[in-house]
Amino acid sequence: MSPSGSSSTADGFGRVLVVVYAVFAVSATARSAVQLATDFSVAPLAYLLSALAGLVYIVATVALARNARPVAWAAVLFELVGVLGVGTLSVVQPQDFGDATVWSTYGQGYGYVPAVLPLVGLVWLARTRPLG
Amino acid sequence: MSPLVTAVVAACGSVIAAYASWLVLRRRRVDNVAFYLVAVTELALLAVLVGGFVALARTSRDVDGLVFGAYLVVLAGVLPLTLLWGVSDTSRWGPGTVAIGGLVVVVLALRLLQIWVGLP
Repeated sequence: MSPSGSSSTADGFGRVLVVVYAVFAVSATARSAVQLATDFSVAPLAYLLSALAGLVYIVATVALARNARPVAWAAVLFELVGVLGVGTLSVVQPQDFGDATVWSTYGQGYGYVPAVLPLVGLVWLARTRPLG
Repeated sequence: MSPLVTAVVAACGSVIAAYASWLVLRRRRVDNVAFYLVAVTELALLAVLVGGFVALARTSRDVDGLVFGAYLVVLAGVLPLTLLWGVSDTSRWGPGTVAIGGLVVVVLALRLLQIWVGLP
């Protein structure tokens, strides 16, 4: 990792992080767009949640890439709450969803990366926090 | 989109991911070997892009064309993008973006085969 201090969130390891965020932004958004367009009525809650997740990933990607810290903090925190909340609900009340979302069972369908990513994002934001 | 094509593409992606990760560990920047690995794989992926659309047009089975086509396009586009971004990074993490690109190629290739044979 790069030294702590006033470095941009988009440099060094941040660049790898932004790429991973971009991958999830594209996959979650595209997946929900197809699902919303073709069979919305099957599982409206699940597909809207996937769309929301995609939107959050887009915001996080852009904010991290442009070093927009407050927005990045908010997006990554929202993502953490989302994956924990939806993950827990999908385990406790699976019948409420109808279909899988990106965040179901803590991102199991995506190798649990959706659960790890916000944690890595928070650590990265803290480590690159400007001094003073 | 035969299993053989998937295996070859996934193997190429794995090699790129492994080599680029090794570069990160050795604190080296994206080098000529990484560039040629990506270039050769990209040529194969462009062939897959064309072949995939031809196969999609010819098949009589019910394949989800929109999703299949989107995967083909993203599969062909991901390596050039991550390579450009990796080369332009001066820190030790430059090859890291290429490594992610290789992993994405592996995942997309496997998903493409699933979509082709009709798995959800």
